[in-house]
Amino acid sequence: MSLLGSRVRRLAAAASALCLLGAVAVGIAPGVSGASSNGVHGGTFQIAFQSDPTTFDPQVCYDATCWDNMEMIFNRLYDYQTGGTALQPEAAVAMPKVTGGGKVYTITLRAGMKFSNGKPVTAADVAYSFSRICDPATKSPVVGFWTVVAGCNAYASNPTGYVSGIKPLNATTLQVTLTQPDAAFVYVMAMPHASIIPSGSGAQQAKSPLGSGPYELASYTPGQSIVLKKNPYYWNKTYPYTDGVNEKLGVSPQVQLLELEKGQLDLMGDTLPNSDYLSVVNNPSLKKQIATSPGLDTYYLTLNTKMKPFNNPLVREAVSYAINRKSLLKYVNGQGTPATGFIPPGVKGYTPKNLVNPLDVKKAKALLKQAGYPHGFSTSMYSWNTQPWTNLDAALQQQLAAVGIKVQVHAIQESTFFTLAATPNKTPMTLTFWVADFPDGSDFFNALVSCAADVPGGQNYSFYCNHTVDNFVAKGLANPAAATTDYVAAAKAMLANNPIVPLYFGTRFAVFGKNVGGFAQNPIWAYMIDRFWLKNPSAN
Amino acid sequence: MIGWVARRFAQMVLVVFGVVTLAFVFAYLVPANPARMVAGPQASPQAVASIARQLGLDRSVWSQYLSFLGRLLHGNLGVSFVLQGRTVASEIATALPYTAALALGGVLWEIVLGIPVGVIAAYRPRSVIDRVATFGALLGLSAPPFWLGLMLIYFLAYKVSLFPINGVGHPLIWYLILPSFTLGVGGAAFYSRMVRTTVRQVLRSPFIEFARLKGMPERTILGRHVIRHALLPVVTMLGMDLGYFLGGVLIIESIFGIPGVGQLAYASIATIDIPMITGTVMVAAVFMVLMNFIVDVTYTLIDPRVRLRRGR
Repeated sequence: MSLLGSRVRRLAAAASALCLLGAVAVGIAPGVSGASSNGVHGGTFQIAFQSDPTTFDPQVCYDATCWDNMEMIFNRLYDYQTGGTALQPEAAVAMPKVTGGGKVYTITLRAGMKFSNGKPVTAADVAYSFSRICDPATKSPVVGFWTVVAGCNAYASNPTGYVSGIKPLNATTLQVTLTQPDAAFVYVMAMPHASIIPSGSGAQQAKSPLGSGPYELASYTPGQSIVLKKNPYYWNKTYPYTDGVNEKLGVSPQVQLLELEKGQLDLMGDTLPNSDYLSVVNNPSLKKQIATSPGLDTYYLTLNTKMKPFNNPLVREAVSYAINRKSLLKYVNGQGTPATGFIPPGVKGYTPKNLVNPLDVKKAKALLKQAGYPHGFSTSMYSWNTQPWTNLDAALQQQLAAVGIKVQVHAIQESTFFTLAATPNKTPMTLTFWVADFPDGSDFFNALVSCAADVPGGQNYSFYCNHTVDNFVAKGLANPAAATTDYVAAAKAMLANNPIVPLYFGTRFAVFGKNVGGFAQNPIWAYMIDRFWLKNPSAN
Repeated sequence: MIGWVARRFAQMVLVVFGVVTLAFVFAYLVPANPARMVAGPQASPQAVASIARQLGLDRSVWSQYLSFLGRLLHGNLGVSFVLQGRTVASEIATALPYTAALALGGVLWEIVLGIPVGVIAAYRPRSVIDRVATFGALLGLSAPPFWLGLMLIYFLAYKVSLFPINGVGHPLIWYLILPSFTLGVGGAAFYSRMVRTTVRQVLRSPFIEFARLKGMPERTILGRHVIRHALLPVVTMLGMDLGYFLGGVLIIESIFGIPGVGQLAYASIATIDIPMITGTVMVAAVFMVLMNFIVDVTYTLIDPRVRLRRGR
């Protein structure tokens, strides 16, 4: 686990998709490196991962390895452009028709699509796949995004047939009814969890995935390899470029880099270890094989508004003036840009205007004095015990010490961190981050600073609740055309209370093999391997 | 003898039961929610709660422990929380052969390098061979396995493509040479020193002198008297090494990408996969007590003075 945990990379990846829905597109433009429209067909793509997938079941998948495989084995109704965040129809023939005041989505399927076993893809298969998410037995981690669908909650107690708000009207038409307008729902239908599987195949998917995507699973040997081959029934005649994909498992990122330099790998499945970053960027032979793109994530500090001394708004404001963001970035190899607000670039709600307080040590000290802490105070900060957190811990400790706040750092294991930070009155400060699940600011607000998330077990580690913020976000979701204005207003209202202090927006960095053509990072998927080709297919 | 075996067996079962219970208790003492790890960092509190219910984590620890014991008595190690649809037993069964091959390889290196070098060094004290062996042992003992492993990969697999860089394949032995060497070299260094010391002691014993006086060839003395004596402590430790290695050797397995029990255990701890934690811990405990037992039995074969009986 280097820069971010591997799952997190995916999340980060996921974070980013941007754009879309009709008029107000805030997209990141497709940037395909070395792009020529004529890719080469043939060959086998080689990639390696540190960890096995925990499952192949798309309605459950949330780790790095399975995430990449979801893109290759399954189709969603909508998917992202190769290097960008704009959505485009995939299994659907067009973007959804939204009626009923933003509550009714009518979707027509592409004609002639087939699963890799030759059976046609129907609206009933889609309804089955979506309903599975609401069935508690599936243990889907994303059920929270689907409770907006009419009948999802009720389905949990009686999971038979389809969720009442999900109706196949005929073989190729599906209707989804929401309980309230939710402009972000189209992104939810593009998440890996919304991948389409054949009716009734849920139980087999964990081990033997079957979908309608560009590739199908040929073999899986736990701990060793996943082998994919071209799906003979795939509808798209351009993709995939390669005839198959070999995924080696159990390969550490350090070794992945060695194999990539040797030409044995076309792509590292995990992020480059922090410690190897400089050697890679300074390696002249790798220069042309490096890509960077915005991470669609925000790294930030949380200040627990229910715990002393951070229950005092003046103390929180003092912290917001104590941070030197530029200097922090040095501790993460400059892989990011100083945060100017809460929502990162590429996500709807981002504004280039500065919404955060600048470094001002004098002002921070004066605020502390005013708050009754003329000599500062001691407190505790929690973070994960991996990179880049431990580097940032030390830097923040120094910066806060400069204004008189003595911070004791607790760098702890991920699983413990989640539990402690989500328990009321346990963690005065945490250092953490969020990667967009989809490119709409509501994702950040709802998960991190909403009144609904201000509960034990949630991710609102500041235990902050402000109905003004919630109302702006709800307004944005109901009216996508004006959502940016509403999200900016929400961010301003929230940052005025300083429950969190944004630090920086992350950058994603990738190294790819010299034989790879058409390489591009996708903000949500990280990689869409079916869209890459091998310049010399016979070399692999 | 039969009584002794029965008593030892009962002890072994008790030890394994105790270890597994401790593992179970510790897994629950960690202030972390396994359901959160299953759901992922971005899941909503509702999703986490729903998953906790599905996994039975909303029941009391006692009731979970009792159903765990009930399953265990039926030989059922349970189903992984994290790895979907996979049983603990099948995961361990898949991983164990790799760990076993690696462990045997490691012990083999310990024997093949450690014992001859120790014996030769003892026969030729302060010779060039002895000094080289001393220096080599110092290196072998001080080189951390993660460093040595990476160096071997870099030079012998990456620079000169003598061995595969990573993973397992066919023939398996080819993929295990570097990892098992890395695993065994520290022990080999240690044993060479130990064997050297014991052999030196034995060589100074009156019975060796007697054997020489009666004209027994040096080779027979070595085989019949010296080695037997020198091996006694080595056998104990080799047995314990093997038991320990079979429980999984995480660092070696992860550096070389070997899908063994160590990696399985590590991943399960990181994700608080309780059934997998207890399963892998149990495997480690079983091998440890089993090897202990085998060592005791082997003792009697090497040294007839050691008898297995009550009160030993």
